[in-house]
Amino acid sequence: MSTLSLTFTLAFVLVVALVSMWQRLGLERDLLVGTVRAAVQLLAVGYVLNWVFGTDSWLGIGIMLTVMLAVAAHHAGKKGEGLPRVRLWTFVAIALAEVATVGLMVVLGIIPLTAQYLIPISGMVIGNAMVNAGLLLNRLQAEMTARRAEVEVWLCLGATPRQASAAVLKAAVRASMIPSVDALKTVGLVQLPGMMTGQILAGASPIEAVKYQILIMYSLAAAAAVSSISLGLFCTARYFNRNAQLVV
Amino acid sequence: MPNSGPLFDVHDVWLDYRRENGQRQTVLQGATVTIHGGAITCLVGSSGSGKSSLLRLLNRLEEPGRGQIDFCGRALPDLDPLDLRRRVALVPQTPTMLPGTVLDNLEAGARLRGRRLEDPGAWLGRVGLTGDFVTKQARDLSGGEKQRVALIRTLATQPEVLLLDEVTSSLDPDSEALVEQLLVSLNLPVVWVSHDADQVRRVAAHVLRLENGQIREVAVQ
Repeated sequence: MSTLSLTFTLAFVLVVALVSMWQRLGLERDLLVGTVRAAVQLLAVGYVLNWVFGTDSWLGIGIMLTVMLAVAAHHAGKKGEGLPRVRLWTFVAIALAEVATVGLMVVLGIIPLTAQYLIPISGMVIGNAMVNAGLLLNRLQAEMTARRAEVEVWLCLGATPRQASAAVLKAAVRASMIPSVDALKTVGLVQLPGMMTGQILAGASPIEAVKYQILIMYSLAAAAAVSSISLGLFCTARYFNRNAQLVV
Repeated sequence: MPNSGPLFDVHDVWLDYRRENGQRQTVLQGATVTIHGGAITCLVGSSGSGKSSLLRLLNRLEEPGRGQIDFCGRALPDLDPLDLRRRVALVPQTPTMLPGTVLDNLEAGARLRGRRLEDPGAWLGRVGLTGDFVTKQARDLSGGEKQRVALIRTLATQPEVLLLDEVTSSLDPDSEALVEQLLVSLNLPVVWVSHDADQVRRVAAHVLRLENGQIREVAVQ
């Protein structure tokens, strides 16, 4: 795409700005900030990726993955405000999802161990796990608040914290998995996923693009399960102190 | 099984908590009392005087800000909280039902201990509920039925000591009398929060009053 063509894409932003002004939505300022940020962030990432892909340096790959994980953990962790060390546990859960999925792809020889494959696929896995982790934390807080009395009944009956919060954890994990399961059911019928569309636009055959998309969809579902369950287990324990008292 | 000697020694216990408006409220201010085993001790006092909070402290669902509570001569922090709660069982004021049927509720404690509950219908009969209640959804029960299921759910765990928080407040007079007879017949040490002066006269061997953050014994029957 030429720079001129890229410049023309600002017309889409202009449409939103005009609608906002016409309907007095007050979105113009946020839209301007968002437009500039998106362009700057993506261009910066593009140049960094260009360098990492060019050098295939392990240091570069490591830094990229760590930054992705840290930003994802920071964002998802906001949904669990009030829980001790929630961002750390979110980081660990998303990292587990990354290792379980991308690690498996590498071990099975599905993708080569190069920056060109590792970073984009990790981006999708980490991004999806981030959304899942946020949903999990959000739902866990809501369930724990709504079912506090039920959890205490279990404690009164002599349950361990894990036993007392098992039903809450199950409900939160199920809820956080719904988007991933729905995406698996409807992919290709409701929407053509971004990666597949991008590959087709770049000239790949649709069948080859679909194969990669299947790989991504399955790995995203696995990443969602690993991040939700591990983060759920880490975080439900944080609702209790060492005397098995509900403290959050 | 605790005998008629000291069951709980509450010594200079302070407790405050944060209310929903963010203000801190002190409910116990240096409370000191000995609760004896082998009998029913009733806790009385106005609403908000700290009766439920004291039961939660005895069950170690909360920690005092200051002071010490001993159970059978041992400080609560020296006891495993799960073991304590299996020996000293609290029936909370609100009869919260666990998801599932009445049977699921009755078996909850037994399942935690890796056991099966024998004859759940007989347990229900002890509080005036018929055996066909076992298949009912627990959350569909009336307030009084829930209260009785919550009590039986705890009794089925066969605790050594009972902490009861207004467990008959939603019951009709006949059911209330049946529950009282059951609890008296168990011959267990019971610490029973009640607002019903007649009930206290009927069941209590000792009566403790909570007032201004202090506890004092007001009657021995």
